[in-house]
Amino acid sequence: VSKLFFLLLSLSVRGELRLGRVLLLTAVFMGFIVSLESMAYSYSLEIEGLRSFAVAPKLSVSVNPRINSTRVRVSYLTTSKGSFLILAPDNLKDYLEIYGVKLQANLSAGEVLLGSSFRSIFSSDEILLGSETVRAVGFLEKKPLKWAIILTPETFDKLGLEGYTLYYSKGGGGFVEAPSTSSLIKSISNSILSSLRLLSFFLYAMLALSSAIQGYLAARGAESVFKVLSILGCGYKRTIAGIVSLSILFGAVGTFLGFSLGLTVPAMSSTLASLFLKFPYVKPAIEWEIAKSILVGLLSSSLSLSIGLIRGFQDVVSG
Amino acid sequence: MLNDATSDFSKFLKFYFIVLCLLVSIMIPLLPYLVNKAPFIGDSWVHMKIAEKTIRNGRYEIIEYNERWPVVNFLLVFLSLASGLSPFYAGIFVPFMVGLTTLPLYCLCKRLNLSSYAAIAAVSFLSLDPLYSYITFSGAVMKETATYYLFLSMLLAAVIALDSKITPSKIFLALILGIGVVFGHHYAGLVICLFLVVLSTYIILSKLKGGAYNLRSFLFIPLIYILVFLAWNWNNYSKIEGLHQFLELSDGLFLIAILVVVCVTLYQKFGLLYLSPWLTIGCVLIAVFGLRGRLYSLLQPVPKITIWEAWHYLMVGAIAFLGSYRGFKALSIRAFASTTISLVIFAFLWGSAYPGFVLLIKSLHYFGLLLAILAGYAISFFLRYKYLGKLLLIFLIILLIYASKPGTELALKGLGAYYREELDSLSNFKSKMNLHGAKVKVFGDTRVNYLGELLDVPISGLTGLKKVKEPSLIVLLKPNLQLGYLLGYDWVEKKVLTPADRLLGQDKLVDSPFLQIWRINNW
Repeated sequence: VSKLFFLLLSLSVRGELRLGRVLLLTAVFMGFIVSLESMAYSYSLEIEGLRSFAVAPKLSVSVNPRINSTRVRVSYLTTSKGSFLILAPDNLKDYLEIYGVKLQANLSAGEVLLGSSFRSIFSSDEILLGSETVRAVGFLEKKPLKWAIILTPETFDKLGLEGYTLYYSKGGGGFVEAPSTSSLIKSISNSILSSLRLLSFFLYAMLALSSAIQGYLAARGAESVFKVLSILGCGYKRTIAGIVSLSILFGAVGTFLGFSLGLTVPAMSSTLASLFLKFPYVKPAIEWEIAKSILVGLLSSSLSLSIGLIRGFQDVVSG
Repeated sequence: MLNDATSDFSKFLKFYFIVLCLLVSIMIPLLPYLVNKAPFIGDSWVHMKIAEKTIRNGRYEIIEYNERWPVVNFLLVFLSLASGLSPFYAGIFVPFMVGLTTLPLYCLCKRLNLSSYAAIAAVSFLSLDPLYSYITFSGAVMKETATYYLFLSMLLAAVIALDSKITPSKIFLALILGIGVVFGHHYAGLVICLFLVVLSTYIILSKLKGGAYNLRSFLFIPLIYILVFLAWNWNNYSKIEGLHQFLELSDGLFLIAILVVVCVTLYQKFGLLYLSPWLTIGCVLIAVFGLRGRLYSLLQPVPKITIWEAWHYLMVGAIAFLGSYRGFKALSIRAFASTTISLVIFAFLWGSAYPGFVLLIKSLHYFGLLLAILAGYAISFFLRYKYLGKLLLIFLIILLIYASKPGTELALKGLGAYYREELDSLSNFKSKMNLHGAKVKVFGDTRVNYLGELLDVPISGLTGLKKVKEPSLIVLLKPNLQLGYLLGYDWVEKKVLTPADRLLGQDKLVDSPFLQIWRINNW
């Protein structure tokens, strides 16, 4: 098989088996994929830098417990006077401290704290929530709490409310952060990366399809080569093994060429743009994710080229 | 009879012309020693110090960066022990050895089927490179210069191995030279490594096309070389602190990517889409704007490019263009061009920070060699016309002398130059300072810092000078007084760091044309 492989390789280099186009196609497609990804990673790294300028998050909310977080049950209630956000923290003092509010005493069962916006809605201390009456013992002036009703977990159960359990903590790092500039930047960067990945999948599909077609055409064009090989006594299975080895090599070389193009061309363009148009220079970032892309590219090009070549070879053999 | 006499005279002239050119080329790297009586650039003092320490202790330690590629240190120790001279005088042999590099270069050109005159054009171009002052590299006593002779010999050995029957003795010689390069300098080792990889790839492709190369014997050389290169440099890379921040694995991949693109472009005789001469010219432009055009965010004491200098650069461009068309027909030249062009582009694409500038300087040491060989090819085009060719060669050499003059002056009088008097004055003062018995902080720029290392005087950088309150000394050497300071790779004007009011009312302990020492915050 190795002798046949070197023979086929030699024939390809000399142009008897026209695989140059496959090499070019693989290189161009992989070049696009690698340049898209490396530049996207590079920009996302630059964006990470922007996060340091953004307003630091003061509050974060997550679904799972975190260190120094306060468990809060969250629900809402719709009455004739409107819909209200109901919050029942396990530790009211800790929860209010997140907003910079200091509490002198604790709430008892049946007592609630109202957001200051409710002053105009409820005229008395006694408030009807669903079927139960609770007593408002204070008002919260802090902006994020203006439309909330805070009560104890016991009162929450008594009201028969259903809701979510969330964990509130100071600073950033949770699933949701406020102010959200920093997490917004991160999520925009992530969404751009995921859309690029989607585009990459489309390019992989194109690469596979075109490699298969070019492989088939190359095999059909090399009719005389395969006929000579069969006259020389190269068996069907041996030829197939040789073709597969050749496809793997061409796939690997094409992918490697694409990787090189994908790094060099955008870097050169960015440098020239920075020199002549005064844009900032962005050097392509080489992350481990690119290794995955290269592996996928190698597999898709090698496999599809093998399929195309074998199919073409079979057609030639069967006449 | 008359014809014979004319022919003899012509041969006589040719012989003496070649010998004269070679002798001048050998002497050029010695200029810093001849003019200033000291080597070029501060690295030289570091290696002399290591050699002194090794001789004193009787053993060699591989700890610091400058000890990990030991060829230059071994050379200084060996020469000092063999001749009885101090490492300072033994150091003269290093620039002399760089000068001798003209011999393997001459042989390489002859091996590439260039005539003696074309080979002389190449040798002259290397020594009088108008693009980049050759003395700033060849006049130093440092790792890279000590490896340059081995580098060119290795290049020659690879070309010989490519074109002739390979014998075990040739392989052995190539490997000895290669190992010398690996232990000599990391960058020189990298250039040879990439060159051998590209050359092997080209040979494999040519062999597949039916070329008559002895592939198996040849591949033995790169395989062994690459293994030794990777093992030694990886070992050093993992042991030198802080190097990871400067050079990451991704940078290596980026360099390989550039090399692949250039290698594919130059695979054909005239390059893909006839791009090869343009690639060479692109690199010339990168060199010009990198060194003179503020491409990098570094301050350098270089004047703006004048119209006349632009003509010099145009001449280099024309030589590069013509030489590329003729020279890139040879497989080995294309392989060497792929390597050096990739390294220049890599430095260009690194970014405008100082590591990019350092990489550019390093790459130009080898790109200059490529340009020299291409100059040989360019002149060989005109040498077909008997007298016109020879006249052009003489004209080229005169033009090169003229064009390299500003660079040579900058090298001999610039911030990188040292004077023997500086060393002597500082050494004298050091002994007096010890008599004084006072422990004081000594401030100086990067140049002073290097010299201080040789003399065991710890020097603090000048940036800390503004805040200093305790009794201190400021050491200023001759170029500091004339040009300003060197802070790493940055040039800083004198008035920025030691304005007149800072020194006003302070004692001047030493005042000579080569050394000024100021005492500040009285003690």
